[in-house]
Amino acid sequence: MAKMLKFIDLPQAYPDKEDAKLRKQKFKEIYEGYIKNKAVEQSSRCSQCGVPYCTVHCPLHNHIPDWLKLAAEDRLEEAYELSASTNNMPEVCGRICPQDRLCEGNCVIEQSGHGAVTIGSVEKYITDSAFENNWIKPIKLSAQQIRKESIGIIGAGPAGLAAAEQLRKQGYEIEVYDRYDRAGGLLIYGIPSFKLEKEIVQRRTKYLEDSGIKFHFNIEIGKDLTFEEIKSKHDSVLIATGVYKAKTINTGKDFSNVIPALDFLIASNKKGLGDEVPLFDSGKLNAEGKDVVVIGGGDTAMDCVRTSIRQKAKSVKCLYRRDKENMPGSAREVLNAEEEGVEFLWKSAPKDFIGNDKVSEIICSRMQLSEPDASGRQLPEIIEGADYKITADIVITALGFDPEDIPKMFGVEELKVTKWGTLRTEFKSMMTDIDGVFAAGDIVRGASLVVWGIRDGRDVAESIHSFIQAKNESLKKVS
Amino acid sequence: MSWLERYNRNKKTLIDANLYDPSQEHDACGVGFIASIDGIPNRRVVISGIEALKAVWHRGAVDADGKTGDGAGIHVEIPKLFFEEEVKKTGHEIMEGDLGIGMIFLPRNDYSALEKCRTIVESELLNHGYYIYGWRQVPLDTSVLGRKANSTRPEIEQVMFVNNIEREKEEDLDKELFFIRRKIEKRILNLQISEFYICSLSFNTVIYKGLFLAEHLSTFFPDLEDERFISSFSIFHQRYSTNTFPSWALAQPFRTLAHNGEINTISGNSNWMRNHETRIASELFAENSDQVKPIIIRGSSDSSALDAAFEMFVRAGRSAPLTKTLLLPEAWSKRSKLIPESHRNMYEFANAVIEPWDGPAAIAAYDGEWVIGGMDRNGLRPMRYTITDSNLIFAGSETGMVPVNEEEIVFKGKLGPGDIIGVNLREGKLYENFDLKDKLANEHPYHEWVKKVIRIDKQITSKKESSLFDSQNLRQRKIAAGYTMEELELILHPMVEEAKEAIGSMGDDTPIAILSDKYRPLSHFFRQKFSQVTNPPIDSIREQSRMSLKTRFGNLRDVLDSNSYQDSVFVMDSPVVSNSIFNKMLKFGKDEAVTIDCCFPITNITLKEKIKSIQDEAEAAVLSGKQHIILTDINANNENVSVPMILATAAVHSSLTRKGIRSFISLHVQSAECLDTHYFAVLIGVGATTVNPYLAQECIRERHEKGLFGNYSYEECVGRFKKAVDQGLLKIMAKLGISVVSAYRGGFNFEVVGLSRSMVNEYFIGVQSRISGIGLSGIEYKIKELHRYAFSGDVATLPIGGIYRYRNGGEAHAYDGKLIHLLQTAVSKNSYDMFKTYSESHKNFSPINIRDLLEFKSNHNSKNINDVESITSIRKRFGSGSMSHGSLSKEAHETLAVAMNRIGGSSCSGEGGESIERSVTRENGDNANSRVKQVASGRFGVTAEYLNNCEEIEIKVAQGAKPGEGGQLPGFKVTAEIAKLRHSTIGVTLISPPPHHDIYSIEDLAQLIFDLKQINPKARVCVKLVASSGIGTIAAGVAKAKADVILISGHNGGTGASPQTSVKYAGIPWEMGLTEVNQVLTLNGLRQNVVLRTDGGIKTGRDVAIAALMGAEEFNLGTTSLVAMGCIMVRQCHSNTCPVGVCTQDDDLRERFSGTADKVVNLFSFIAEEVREIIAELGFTKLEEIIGRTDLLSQISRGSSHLDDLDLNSLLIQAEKDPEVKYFNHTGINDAGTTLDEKIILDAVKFFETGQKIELNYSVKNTDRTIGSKLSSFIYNKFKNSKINDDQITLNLTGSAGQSLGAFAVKGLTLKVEGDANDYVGKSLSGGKIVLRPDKHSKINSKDNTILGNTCMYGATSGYLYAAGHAGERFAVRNSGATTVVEGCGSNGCEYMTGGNVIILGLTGDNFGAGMTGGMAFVYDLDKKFRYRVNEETLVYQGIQSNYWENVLKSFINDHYNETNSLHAKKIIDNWESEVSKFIQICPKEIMNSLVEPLVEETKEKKAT
Repeated sequence: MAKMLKFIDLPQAYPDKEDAKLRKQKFKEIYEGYIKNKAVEQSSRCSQCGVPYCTVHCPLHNHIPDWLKLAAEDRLEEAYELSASTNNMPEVCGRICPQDRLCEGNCVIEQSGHGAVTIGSVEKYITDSAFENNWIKPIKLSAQQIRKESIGIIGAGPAGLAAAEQLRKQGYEIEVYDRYDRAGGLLIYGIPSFKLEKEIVQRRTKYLEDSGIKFHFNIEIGKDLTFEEIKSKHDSVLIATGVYKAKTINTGKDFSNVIPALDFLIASNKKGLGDEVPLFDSGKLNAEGKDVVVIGGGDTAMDCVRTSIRQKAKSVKCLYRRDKENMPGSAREVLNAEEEGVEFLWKSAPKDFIGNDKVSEIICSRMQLSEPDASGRQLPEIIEGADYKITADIVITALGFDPEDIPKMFGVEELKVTKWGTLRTEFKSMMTDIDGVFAAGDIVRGASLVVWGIRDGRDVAESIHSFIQAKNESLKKVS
Repeated sequence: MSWLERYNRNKKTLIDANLYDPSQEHDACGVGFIASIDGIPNRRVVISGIEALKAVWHRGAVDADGKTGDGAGIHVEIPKLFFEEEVKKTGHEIMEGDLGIGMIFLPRNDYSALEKCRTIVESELLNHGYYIYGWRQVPLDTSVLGRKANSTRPEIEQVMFVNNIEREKEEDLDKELFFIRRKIEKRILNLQISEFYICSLSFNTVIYKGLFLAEHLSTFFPDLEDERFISSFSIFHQRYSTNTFPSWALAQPFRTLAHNGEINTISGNSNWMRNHETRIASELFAENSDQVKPIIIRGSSDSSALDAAFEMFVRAGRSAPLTKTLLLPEAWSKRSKLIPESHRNMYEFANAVIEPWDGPAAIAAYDGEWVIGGMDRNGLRPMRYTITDSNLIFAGSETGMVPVNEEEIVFKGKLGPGDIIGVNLREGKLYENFDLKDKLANEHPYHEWVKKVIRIDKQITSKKESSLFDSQNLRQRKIAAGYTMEELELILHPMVEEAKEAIGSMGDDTPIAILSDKYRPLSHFFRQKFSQVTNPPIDSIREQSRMSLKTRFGNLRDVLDSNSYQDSVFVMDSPVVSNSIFNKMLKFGKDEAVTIDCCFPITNITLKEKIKSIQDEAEAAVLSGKQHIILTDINANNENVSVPMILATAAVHSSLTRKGIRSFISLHVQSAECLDTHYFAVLIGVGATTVNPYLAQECIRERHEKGLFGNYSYEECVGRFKKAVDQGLLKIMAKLGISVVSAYRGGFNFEVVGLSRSMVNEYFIGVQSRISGIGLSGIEYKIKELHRYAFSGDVATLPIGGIYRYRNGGEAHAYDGKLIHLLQTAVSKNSYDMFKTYSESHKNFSPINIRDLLEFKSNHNSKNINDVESITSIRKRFGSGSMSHGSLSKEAHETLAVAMNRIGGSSCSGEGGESIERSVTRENGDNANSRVKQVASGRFGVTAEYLNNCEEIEIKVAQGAKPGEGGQLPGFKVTAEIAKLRHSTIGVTLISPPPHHDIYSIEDLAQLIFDLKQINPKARVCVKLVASSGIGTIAAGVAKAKADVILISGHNGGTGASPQTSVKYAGIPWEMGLTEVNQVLTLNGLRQNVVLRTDGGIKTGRDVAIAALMGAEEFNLGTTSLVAMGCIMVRQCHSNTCPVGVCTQDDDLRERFSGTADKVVNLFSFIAEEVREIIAELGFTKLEEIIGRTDLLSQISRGSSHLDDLDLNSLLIQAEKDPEVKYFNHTGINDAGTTLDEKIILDAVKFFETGQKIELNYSVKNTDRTIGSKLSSFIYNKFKNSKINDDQITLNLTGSAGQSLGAFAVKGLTLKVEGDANDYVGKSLSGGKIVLRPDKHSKINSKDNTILGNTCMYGATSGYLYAAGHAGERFAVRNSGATTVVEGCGSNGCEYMTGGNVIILGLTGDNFGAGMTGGMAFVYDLDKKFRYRVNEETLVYQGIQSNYWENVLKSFINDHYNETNSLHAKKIIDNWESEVSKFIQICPKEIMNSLVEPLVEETKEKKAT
């Protein structure tokens, strides 16, 4: 039996990462999986804390120490069951969560300087093993468990899928609508394969289909189907469309080679999936042989720079206003990008875009950071007279996302939005202003992490279940 | 209002509010007897009894008035001449026939009641045909009484009568009088007259007793001064009680015995007596049997209950020696090599008929023929005896109580565990221990009788365990039984893997069960009782040989009938039964068994109805003659939910007990919920005979099938689990000092927190439930909810748990992750705003502690905060808790001390010593010396130096996380540094015993306090207790023992390592303990004599303020201080892997420590500031003004809606204070009294001036206690910086030295005694030398006689003791460096020893060297039985096999001879060549590799070649 608390003698070891020279040639995940012994060994480093801060700071409050212990004891099936009991796609979280800011960053032994337990890698290992060993069985509902109520879910991203699975387990009939041709939302089209291979997402989608969840693709609400039609078809509706509208930058002119990050990433991902992508083939969304400038410092920016590298760009630069310590994206991703040859221009902001219909050069301002304000945040200020110039064949803006105007798109006036444009919901029940219509994920929260999407999906599922039960109760009382 | 009126009113208020229960009172005392061995009455016997009482006054307590004692008395023969004169004075002629005397307390202030009593007494005597001479008003000198004693004094009269009936056959007159007495008592009780009490009613003997100081016995009763008062025996007694209500009736001796100690098993014994008495009484009195029932009157003290049982056996014709053997047998079952078979047969017979009454008990008893002295199995009370050539025996708690000419003495002995000594006055013959037992063992054919006892373990065995449920069914059952993953992984798994209970650390910060919104099994509402102060817990590991789980069952028949019952008595070694054995048992006894299904349909019937039907079925089974009842919940399924088996078992046990028919059957319980040891304990404690944990076993099977238990077979796994449970049960019993499971069973030794009072009254006999709580309907709601969930469908994983550690979705934990970080940020940034956020967040939590249900209320106007006393003055009331350097890292420990010294608060060394370097102020002005030094049971590092470098000494009697248990510092934490502080060896495990071996009783605590006040006369003495019901009376006893501070710890205190179930289920919240202590001390007029302090999970200023309102003046924050220094509740203190370096000795981890004194100072400043705000808000300006003001609190929440009621009135009630007394103002140091040292110090003035060698001579008595300690304090303080030679100051003493001779004696001091000494000689010896030898004129042979009392050299660290004679029990326990030679010792010698040299030139008692991990011992093995007496678990022992060690031994014996002139030693030295082969050398295994020379020489030579 493996004993825990080995962090004292056993150093931290992440799974091997493929050498930058090799990995930048291809769109494949860069980390190896753990071999079994390694996973067991690394799991056994856990301190089994009385207050597990990894759990506390995980949006899903995963029972991390407990499945680490099970993994350390080579009880993988139980580890999977436990891990899956709080997380609908642990294999995804294990790959793309910014663990260094969540569980691993708050790991007690990390805090005390021993190096965190490699939680994400173990999580990934556990679930991949579960799939490989066929421990993951589609949901099978017994006759008593099946409910007659049906739930419609708009959006097949993390929040929508998590809600779908949770509600299916409760016995509901589930139908999921998505405007794209595949399920997964950003998981399938936003996140590049070198972080999350598409088979992983498709494996999960297949499981959901096998569990009896029905998917309707290529459906845009308000266009292909009215919201009213969906609403009348289902006992409750969940809106989980995500946020897709790119934040823009004022370039002065309309340049054809200034591209929103998502367009760039979707094109690349679709290409990888073998789809026809004319704008890629035309070169517009292909970085090959070009000087690429990516503006922004978040995880999306990192995805863009690293995709560009793999598309064999001539050069890839990343422009960010603040310094490395203050960037919002995962430090681990920055390191990966640096290894792969991305040049980071810290404390730099675009001041002017030069070119005719295409940008050819960017004038950049050098920035400095102010003294921390009350909240501790340092504001970037321009250093006058320190401008410099860089060349660009393609400029990718990764400045974040705003919500689309859902009420307008759906043609439903009664849906209300907040001042940020996100859907307004009642805090606890997560219900919108329309009775029986719920909303969750980024469209409520604003652009956020996948793990938060899952969390919201789970919460809203519980809420919908309570809603339906309450409705049934009141019906019973009336009759 | 008079004192008495206020007292009675206050008492009633507190009782009505459920705050105080008089049945919790305790007592202990000095006891003894004197007899003329030839049986001829003589005056010296009486006079000596009176004298003896004058010499044990220090074992009693005195009330605040300085005169009211707790009681004393004497039991003697009726002096016929004297009383015949008295009869004549009444105008009667003396008639033919026996003269009887009744010594009676009558109501003094109510004339009509007095007349009624007299009339009833007379009428009953007349009814039996006796002739009454009349009443004699006993002459009294009331001037010696204190105010309280006098105001409650009864009218004391003697009824004189004669048996002048013509009888056909000889009747047992004392049996007749017993019957008459019971009838009188019953009739008067029915009249509700409470002041009536019959001390004695007899034709043989009379008892004089009352509430005066022991020394005033014969002054108060001038009768006793009369020369005609002669007797062949006298039994005397002096009482020390924790309660201060003057109760004349509770003074001793009682009718048959006098008792020193405590009966730990009292509640089980009383319950079982109710079952036995049904049959006994009818045998004795046939159709009149109801007249004498109940044998044990409700509300009796434990001693009087024992007396009642003892008397019943005696009246039923059993001799006193046999009765003692039945009720207080010696430990026998595991000592087959030391006890003859005939004796064992007798004990086995006794075991099969009646539960033992476990002490600690030393008794003196009289049955009309025998006068005996006896000891219970553990031998925790002293009894020494002296036999003279004038045919007298003097026996008592101390030697030297009666001055006897040394030349007259022929023998000096002591009673060991289970021993007995008796004089048959009719025969005129003395029987010593072995002879008397032999006589008893041969009186009946026990060997025939025990043949019929069926040993189940031999009859039913099983090699194969099978499986019961498939995995889906198993999962549902697990969930329905409330199992969680945590419980399986953290609790069950280690029980199999380690065959021991799981260990954890830090305190319990989850809601008490009643406040939880989760499902909590019923066991969580039961809190294990534990011993503190008034009686000692036992070490269930090291002293296992005296403990037993032997379980007997079947129809127990009549305990008095020696012929007919044994055929149906079954015995097995443990009450824990595996599935296969259980099934076989069912088959084995199926004709006599009835199975009762405890499951019921989830719809249509209620829990209450189901319980009723279970009770009815059980009763019907008994009446139909069945012998076994099986209660089972195995039939639970989708439709049927189970009654919680604790409830079912208790309901059956209590209803059968109430009807007196419980002993006709055994009660076997099959329970799904039962998994941890606590649950087993609760089931057995509420009456289960055996327990079958079938579901836990199924979980083991499942895990075994998964391969989680390595190479163990399934059967082995089950065996290991059973072993863990057995050990756990022993530990839980040992915690309250119970050794034998039969006396624990059905004893309801729990208190309940949060169960409905009415439900508890109905099903749990005698259990307290002070705050009420959930009742049947609430429980029903909870179990059904859980049941529906479990069977609702496909639940994949078990609930995660979260009781022991925080888990999302599980229980709330008060140390919340985010709040910990918030507090840490606040103290490191010195941000009071952040602290307030932290504090507010705590307030907004759902309730966790009782105090969370309370809110402040005040009708005063708020005050301006600027008018409130400063944080500087409030901070002085704070302490950082008692945590040892050993559990904490050096850095953390010193940081705390520095911080507390900066703010004038206190830090405590904890157990384990403290480096003297820390007493020196550092260059930067900081000081890391702990202001409070702890004295704990292991006495690690307790030296004269340690105790002289502090301002307060804390006696840790119990610890919140594990009251009643000792600790263990695993070898891997014993670094060089720790080993040095603790005077031990690097890497060798250190064990702290559960009890202080010098505190088995309240008077012992008084003695320890006395000792400490000698060695440091300037220090306050604090006694640390753990909250429990009844703690109020314990605290009253502690206050009477002159403590200055009483610390009440809550159950939620922290620990470095403890069994998980101990952390969870022992002790109660401090809110309950503190309020009880505050009010009971007020009730008894003692509150102003002490400071009250509390601790346990205090986190905010609000917590502090509530504690103050509840009566605390000072406050400790242990865990919260640690959190301020960086602790993040990893809860791995026991693993030495604390990642933040707080609680570890690992060098690398210690480097991670990031705490600073500033952070700690900030924490306490914030808390003080918050307290100020609350004081201002309440409308006061000083903390002092709000202490004890529970009227400023109100209950704002009564818990969830499904509770019957949650009633905190018992916490808020107040006793009215004496207007003449100033409260909360105790600043000085209580004076414990003076000693001979005061004189010695004056006589030694030259020595102190010049340091030159001197010798002083004194004659001493047993009342001269603690000689040499205060002198040592003076010597230490005078010479601490200079070297001093041995023997620089020598005291030559003659006589019997009192207790604690040479305690803490320092180097340079030598004490030489000619005569003998009492208990605790050389306690914590710190370099001094003590020599004892018999008087020059003595005829006795040193090697056969006892010269030292019990627990000598306890915790000695250096120095020498040479004694020409035997030592008592527990010699050299926890010696860590002293050298000592004695000529024999009692049981448990060298227990827990960690260093030094012990040479025993004679026999030892058994269990020698238990838990010994250091030092060396040599024993002269005369009878070649040492191997049966040694506890070899940690030891190797062998003959002397090296020249080196032979020389070492010889030089020790030479030293002994030189110091004592012992002829025995001389003989050994003179015949060394032949004698050396008789020695055994004993060495701990763990230190074998670090010895200066190996034990066996050959190996060394071989290596060399």
